[in-house]
Amino acid sequence: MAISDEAGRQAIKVWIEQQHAELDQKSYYQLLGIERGADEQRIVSAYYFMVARFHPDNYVDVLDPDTRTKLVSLYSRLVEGYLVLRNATKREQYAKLLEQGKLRFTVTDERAPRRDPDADVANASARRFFKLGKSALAGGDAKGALMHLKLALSVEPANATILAEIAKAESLVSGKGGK
Amino acid sequence: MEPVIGIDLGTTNSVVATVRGNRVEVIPDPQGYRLHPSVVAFVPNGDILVGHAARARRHVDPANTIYSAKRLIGQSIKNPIVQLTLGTLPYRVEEGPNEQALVVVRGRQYTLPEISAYVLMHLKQCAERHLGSTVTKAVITVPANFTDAQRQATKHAGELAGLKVLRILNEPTAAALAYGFGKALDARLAIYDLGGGTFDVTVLSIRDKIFEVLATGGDSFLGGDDFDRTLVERLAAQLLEQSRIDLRAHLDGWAKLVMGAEQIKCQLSRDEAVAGTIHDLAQGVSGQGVSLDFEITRSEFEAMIAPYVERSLLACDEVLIASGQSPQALTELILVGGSTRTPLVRRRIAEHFRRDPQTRINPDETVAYGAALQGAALTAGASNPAEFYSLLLDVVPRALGIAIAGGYAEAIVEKNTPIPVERQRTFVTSHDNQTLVVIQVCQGESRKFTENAPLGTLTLEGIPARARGEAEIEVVFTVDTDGILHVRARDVKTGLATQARMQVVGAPEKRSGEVPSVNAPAVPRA
Repeated sequence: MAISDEAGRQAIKVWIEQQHAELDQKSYYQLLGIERGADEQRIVSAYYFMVARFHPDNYVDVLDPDTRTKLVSLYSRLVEGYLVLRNATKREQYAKLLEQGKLRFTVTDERAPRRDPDADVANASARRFFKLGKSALAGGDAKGALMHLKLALSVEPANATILAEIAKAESLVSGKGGK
Repeated sequence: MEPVIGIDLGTTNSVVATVRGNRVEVIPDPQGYRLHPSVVAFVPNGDILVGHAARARRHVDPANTIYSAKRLIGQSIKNPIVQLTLGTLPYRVEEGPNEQALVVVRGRQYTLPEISAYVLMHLKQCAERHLGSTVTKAVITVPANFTDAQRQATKHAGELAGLKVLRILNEPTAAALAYGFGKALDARLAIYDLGGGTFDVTVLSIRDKIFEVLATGGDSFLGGDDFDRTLVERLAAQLLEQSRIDLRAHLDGWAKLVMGAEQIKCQLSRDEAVAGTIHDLAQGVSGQGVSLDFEITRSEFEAMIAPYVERSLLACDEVLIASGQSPQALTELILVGGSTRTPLVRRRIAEHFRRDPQTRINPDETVAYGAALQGAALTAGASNPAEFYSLLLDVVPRALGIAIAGGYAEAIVEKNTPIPVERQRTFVTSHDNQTLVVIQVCQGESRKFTENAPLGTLTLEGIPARARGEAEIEVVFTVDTDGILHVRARDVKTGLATQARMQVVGAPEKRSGEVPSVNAPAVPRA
């Protein structure tokens, strides 16, 4: 929303600069203004509350480029915190990082302990079919899974990971057929 | 109050709307049409026509009548799918600097942003005429799956047309805004947007005035034009059989066939079968006009287009998985884009999502309507009333990555990350006294760099000469709310800014402030 008077603009600039200066001293919980034990609903509503305050669209034509850049950094960090806390696995990992005194979840934190199980399928479209196949399998649709997995195999023939998944799906299909 | 216009710059047609007197108005052209063909015709006397007047020239003068510019804008001419598209266009396209496509009309080259600027100027003039005031601000929509380069080129087109582009807005998000604005909803929507040339699917959550995109996906080369093409090919094959005439060698005849196919497609949405004759497709040996008698049933047509429809459903599955929503959890399914009128599309999507789509929405106008609302939201409290405030939280449609050792790509920003977003990476020199670092940037999810769309080259210059590994440059990649990438860099040791230059593939070289050199009347004189 537009802030027309100069005093208002100045106050916003000061507020953003202050928040930005403290950015690296705050945990994701502190950024979102919530307790460590906050439940999912609380996280989501805190995120919405913060987004409504920090989204750069709320300050169109109000900020000088430097302050705007700072606001984008701030906003981006809020989103980063939200995406970690909203994801149960990442939230657990983050708890360990906090114990080590780390406030941010970095790419290496994410990559090292948790290897992408689909990483063995290198081709993008093969991986796409592979994932669809796996999710169909998880949903109990073995025939659908088989179709997607075979498409994946057609892109990456002789891929052991895909073949293993196909074996699973086939045993389910034939298991059902046998009854 | 200065008006802000919302523009749905379509592959086939464009729509322009604005908020006036607390409601959204779709703006007609002087003849009263609300759908403006995205066609630019260069007529022999030097005039440039846009819209309906231009569309009428498609079969009279196909070589100088430019349409489907959206299929080429911001793309490398080397892209194999662009090459495929070029084969179906009756006008001339050449390769320009930086792999960009240039349209050649009457001996002059035009960039794609220039062509789109003519369409935008026409829309701007329609709005100015309708509103009786100058218009300088606009929100322009693009398919959600548009790349960075396509967004930049579209924004550039807006600037060339004399518009300050307040936002490059994703079409499905615009449709969601049009649907949910002012309703105080708590809902989860799926938007299925099948236009002339692109397909998008977006799942988003609405909570009161906040519209949060959960995931988006699609196919940038899938649309109603594909339906037309299968029809054209079938008709051309039939003609070859009937009259031994290969229309691929007859530009004018082919253009006629394309227009005929469009009509047949639309009629098949209403009727079970269509029969008729297309006259004067070519000249026979003795100078007589060659006609084609055709008959085609809806089920025949549906069998032809089914693979395309299935391809769109595959993308829907992916987006649903990424959004963490099941079809049952959705509140509403919304269809956008003229191609969703096709009965097969409606039927398959209803089966797939296990619900009937929302039909009260006008699939042609809803995107422009949403763009107008976003324009009002961005100026709420200033040029528009405060009650028009709403907040859109959109996402990055495709991962942004850089080339790393072994031919692999490393994601900097993952697909579906909310924007604006900022990510840092530190680069270290690999040779002694290295003062230049060149980084290849791509868009896409593949681990292999070459399987992604090349975005461009990032060059870091003026790095202080030090022993290898000693010079560390921190690069900040920012994707702004338009979905456009910006890069800045600094020397970690000195904290001083390092020059970072990003050259995007397929984009015209920066020629700031330049407007299309032909300032012709874009609105047809009534």
